[in-house]
Amino acid sequence: MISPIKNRGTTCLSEMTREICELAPIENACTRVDGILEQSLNEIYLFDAQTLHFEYVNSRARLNLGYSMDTLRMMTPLDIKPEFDEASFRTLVNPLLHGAMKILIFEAMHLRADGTLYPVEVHLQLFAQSGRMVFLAVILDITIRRRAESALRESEERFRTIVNTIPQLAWIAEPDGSRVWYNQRWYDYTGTTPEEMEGWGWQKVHDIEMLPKVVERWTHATAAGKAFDMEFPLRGADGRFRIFLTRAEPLRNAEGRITQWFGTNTDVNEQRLGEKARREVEKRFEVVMGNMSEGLVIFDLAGQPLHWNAAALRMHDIGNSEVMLLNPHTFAQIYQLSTVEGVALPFDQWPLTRILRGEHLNDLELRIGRVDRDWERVFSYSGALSHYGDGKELAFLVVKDITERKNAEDALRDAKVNLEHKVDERTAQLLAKGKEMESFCYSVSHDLRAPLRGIDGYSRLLLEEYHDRFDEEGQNFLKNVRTATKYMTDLIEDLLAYSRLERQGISRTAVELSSFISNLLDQYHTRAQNVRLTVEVSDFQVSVDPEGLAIALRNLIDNALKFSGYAPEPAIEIRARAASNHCILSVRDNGIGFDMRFYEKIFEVFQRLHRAEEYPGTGIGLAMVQKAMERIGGRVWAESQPGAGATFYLQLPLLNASQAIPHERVNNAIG
Amino acid sequence: MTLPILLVEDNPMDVDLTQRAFIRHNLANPLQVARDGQEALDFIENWEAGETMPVVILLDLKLPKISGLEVLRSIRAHSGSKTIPVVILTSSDEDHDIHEAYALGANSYIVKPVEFDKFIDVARQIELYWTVLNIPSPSRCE
Repeated sequence: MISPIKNRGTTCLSEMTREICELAPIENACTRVDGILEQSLNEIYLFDAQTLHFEYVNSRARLNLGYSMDTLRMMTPLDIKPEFDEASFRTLVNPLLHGAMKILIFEAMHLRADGTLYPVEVHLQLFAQSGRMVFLAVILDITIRRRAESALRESEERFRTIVNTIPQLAWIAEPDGSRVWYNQRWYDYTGTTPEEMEGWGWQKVHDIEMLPKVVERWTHATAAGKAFDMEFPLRGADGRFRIFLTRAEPLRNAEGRITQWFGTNTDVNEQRLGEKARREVEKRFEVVMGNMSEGLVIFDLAGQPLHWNAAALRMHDIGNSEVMLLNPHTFAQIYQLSTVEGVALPFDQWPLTRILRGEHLNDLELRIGRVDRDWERVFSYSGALSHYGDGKELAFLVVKDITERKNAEDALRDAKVNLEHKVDERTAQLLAKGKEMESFCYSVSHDLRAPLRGIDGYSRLLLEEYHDRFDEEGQNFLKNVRTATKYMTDLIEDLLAYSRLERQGISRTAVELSSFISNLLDQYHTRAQNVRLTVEVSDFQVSVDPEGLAIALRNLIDNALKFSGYAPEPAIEIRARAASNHCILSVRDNGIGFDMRFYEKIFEVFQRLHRAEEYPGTGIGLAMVQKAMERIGGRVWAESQPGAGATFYLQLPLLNASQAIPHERVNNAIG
Repeated sequence: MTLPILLVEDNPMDVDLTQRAFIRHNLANPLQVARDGQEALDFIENWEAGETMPVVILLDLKLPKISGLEVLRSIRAHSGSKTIPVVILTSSDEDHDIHEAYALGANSYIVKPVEFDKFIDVARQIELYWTVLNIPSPSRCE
């Protein structure tokens, strides 16, 4: 390899030699110079500019080459510089011959006698000597330098290989901050070319918003010569940014001057996103914990509290600073727990103790009080051991303050007890009233009837035995007394029947409707002689209280007879038809009927719509019907128009709903 | 000798009417009257002491001092009187009175009718059934 090498500081020797030789007449001086040349540690050659034959070779050169002076006189530089032929060598030295250059410096390889080679740096000058031109060659053996250079190259190679294998992006920058080298990963990741990246081209892969800050920091770091450390996104070949942690260190020379910066970009994208995600989860968790109305306390397995949320602190009436000092034992010095009923709870039964033993708590209701002051609440505890995040097992305790609810429950229970007590009292009072009522009715039945019997009996005796002594008016007076007595007797009997109906227990039995009605009608033979009676009742089975049904029917038939009594052709129709699960029995007459305006009144006790002399009655009959139907579980209603008769309907529960349908079909088929 | 009928009745009007009803039917038996429960028990004691027992006892239930049912219980508890027919003659037609009276050994239960005509019918029934047809008086047995 031949490359011109600039000033290496060796010219001073050549200069000196020329000056000395110009003083040639002084022999002594020449001899002295010869001695210096001979002993120089540089190899020094003199050879003829025309023939190129060596004329002088100093000892250092001779030793190095392994030739004697005699042999060398026969040789030219071409013999020891195998890379040159004569033409190339003459071309090389030509500028010196033409005075274009004063000195020619080049590197070459010298061939020793033993065939080995060594690198040299040649300083070649042309001199005129005794009318002839000679070349003076001062040679430096540069083996050591070459070795060092090669080592440096190798070291640099190694460095680049290493830097290309590391997972980071890496680069080298000049002291001014411009970049001169990137590793392969940089190019792979960014998808850029060395040309694009030259100098300050690295800015192209930065986030435009972050860039000013990056440039500012980088400029500051390079100016101050301090390590650079920053995270920012870099655009990848796919156009997407990833976050990199970028670090750069200055490389200094022996004098401490910065020669280069070495930087790396480490991809921390996943890490940062992961951290971000975790931070978000934690943040969310914190928000939830902070805002939940239940208290949440997290403990480690030693029972040391790790976190109390705001609600838990609030509920325990305790400050944030105090709370971290608490462990289960100090907690037990401040608080005491007891059952809702107030029985003190031993420490090994406390919620946290139980959870730490591995128990699951679910709404354990306890009373909690402070030892040092008057403070008591009722809490509901839930919790268990649970794995958290990184698999660590922690104790979670959820606390709800249910004091208000508990108080409300207590109040409610008290109220209920009170109410029950009151109801019992009232029931007892009502029962007593009922008893009173019963005994009242008993008295009525007994005591009212006795004087009536007296009035009736003696008025009868008067009429019979003292008939002669009364004139007609007197006899009428007595008859009126007897009529009134009769009315009052009826009234009492009906009232007693009504009250008995109210007091009696209900006994439901299966009643075969058609035979029941025909039995009942047997009693009306004489009274209904002049009435056209129509009965159309299939053999329905109804579930009723027979006595109640008899009372209801008897009253309806009595009424029908009574109110159709003045009709030209009294007619009564009794019919039954089945509906879904009941049977509807109707009693229709063609009597005077009633105005539907008074409908509500007709079922009330003592309500009468007609004058007593026309239609006698106590006004209790329909009230009895309604009462009887209520007890049967049916109902009664009526339809009427004044002068157009009246129809009363009784709805009776069928014994078995399924029986009703075939009957209805039969009826329809017949109809 | 016609044996007496004992009427246990506190209402003098009822006593009088009963008596008159019997007269109308020409019932010859003399009517003895106890005006409350205590007086009725006195009769029982006298029977135990050997006095003539009645052919039938007509017993009201609602009586001063001792109730008619207590009197009935006492009549049936004494060996002498326990075979005497007892007809309950009362204003009460309450089921529990009727049931209890029969349970304690009443022979018949008649609700006093308010109308005098019916009262006379009752008297006839008593006469027919208890004093003439059914029970041979102890004296007749002798």
